[in-house]
Amino acid sequence: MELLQDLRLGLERHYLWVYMGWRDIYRRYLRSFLGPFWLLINSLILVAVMGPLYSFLFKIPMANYLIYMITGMLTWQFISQTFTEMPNVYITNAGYITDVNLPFSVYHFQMLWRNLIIYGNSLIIIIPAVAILGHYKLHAIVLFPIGLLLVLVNAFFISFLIAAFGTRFRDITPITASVLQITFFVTPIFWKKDMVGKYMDLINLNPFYHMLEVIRAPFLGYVPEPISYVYLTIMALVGFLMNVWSYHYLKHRVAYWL
Amino acid sequence: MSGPIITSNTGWPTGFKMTEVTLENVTVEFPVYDARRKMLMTSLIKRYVVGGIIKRDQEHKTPSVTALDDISFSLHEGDKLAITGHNGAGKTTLLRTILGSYKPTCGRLVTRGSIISMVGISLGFDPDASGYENIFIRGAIMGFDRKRLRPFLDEICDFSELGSYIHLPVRTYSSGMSMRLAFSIATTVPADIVLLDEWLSVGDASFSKKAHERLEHFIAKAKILVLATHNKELADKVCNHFIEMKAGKIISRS
Repeated sequence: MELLQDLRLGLERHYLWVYMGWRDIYRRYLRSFLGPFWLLINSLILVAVMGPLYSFLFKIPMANYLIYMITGMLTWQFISQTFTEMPNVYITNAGYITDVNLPFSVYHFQMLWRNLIIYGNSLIIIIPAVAILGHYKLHAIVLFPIGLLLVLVNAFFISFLIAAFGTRFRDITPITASVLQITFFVTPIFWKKDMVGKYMDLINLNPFYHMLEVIRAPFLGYVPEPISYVYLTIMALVGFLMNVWSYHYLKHRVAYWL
Repeated sequence: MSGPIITSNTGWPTGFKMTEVTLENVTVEFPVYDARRKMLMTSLIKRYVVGGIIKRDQEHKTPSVTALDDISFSLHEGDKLAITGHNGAGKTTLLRTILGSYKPTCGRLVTRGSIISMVGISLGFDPDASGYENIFIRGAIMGFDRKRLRPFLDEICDFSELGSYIHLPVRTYSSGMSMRLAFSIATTVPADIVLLDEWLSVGDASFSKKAHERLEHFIAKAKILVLATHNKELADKVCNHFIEMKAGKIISRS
């Protein structure tokens, strides 16, 4: 299968995308004093301002709410940044696509790896915050890597599709950005799922909720509901099959669309 | 249907017995989307909302440029092909098609053996990294991890004549210096099939002579060479097969 072949060649080139991912970050922040910590500072200011306000509005104890919001905001930033970059994966690598012809998975691995490093950076805030404010439990924490992996696998397959369409239709970039903006408000990031009462089941339809939940819940000391894992596993499977089906078609057109 | 059989486009000879590049009636057409057509909305509207336009759309189709028109040739071990022609004749597109970047719109392409493209040899150069680091970046792009590249490091540094500049960021280099480095890296590891867009000439007179020799030596190690060039004199000297192209077609061969 061509997709698996591409994946295999892409994994063989791990030294390329691991290195390029690091370099991307290094270059982006080369001359700034705080580097990637700027992203953290943004979220921290937001949390510092919104945290007390919303814990008052929602009548939730401050410590509980702060840890909920810190983990939520930082994890959301990781997810949304990853999705924002998807439509441009091929466009930014145009030169490589025409003149080097690398396996396409390399570009996606590089994008995911870059965002993973930045998320790893935010763990510097998350981990102490959880240790001080949270009620973490060991059996929940071990689910964190599983959740993260599940999200990455999903993002990988979705990226293959969005990147191709984003190359052909340049409007996909702003569309993705505005969809993510709306998603931020309809996903329980700074409000809690049980606040919507009888509409709680509706939230289960939101894929971003499940992606957030499997990464965040372990930090908050509880095990995500099984439905989140089932949802994401099925989504990964569907994403995989859609790529198996479309890979040949898309792969050979992307170069013409650049 | 077509497609390159082997897609290991990294350097390093693969030890294939039958290195081959074969094109049968290869045509490459580029669709030209103007700004309006590239937008999702117009495409959706035309296809699903306004019934009448679909027909008009099918009659006119997306305009396209035929960059390669019915190209056929077959190269085997020892063949060195020169492609000559004016700008826009389709030389670079032909190289990219052989590399596998553009899948032929019609016709068949078969390549066997490892391919290395000398188009864009400084692609990926990071101006903020040192020349030394950039050797690894370019190496990784060409398909070599640090371990496989290590034995060649000294040689690359020596040949590029950068001296201690090799440890300074590339943005401090003159364009000639960074070309010399790119050239030295690109001509280090041989491949079965070498695609060359214009004979690479770099540096001042003395370096240029040295570079010429190195490139000749590099090409001698390849089993197949495809050279796109304006320079017919040079083509006569280096190659044993010749194609002249005009507007995507082969107009003469020998």
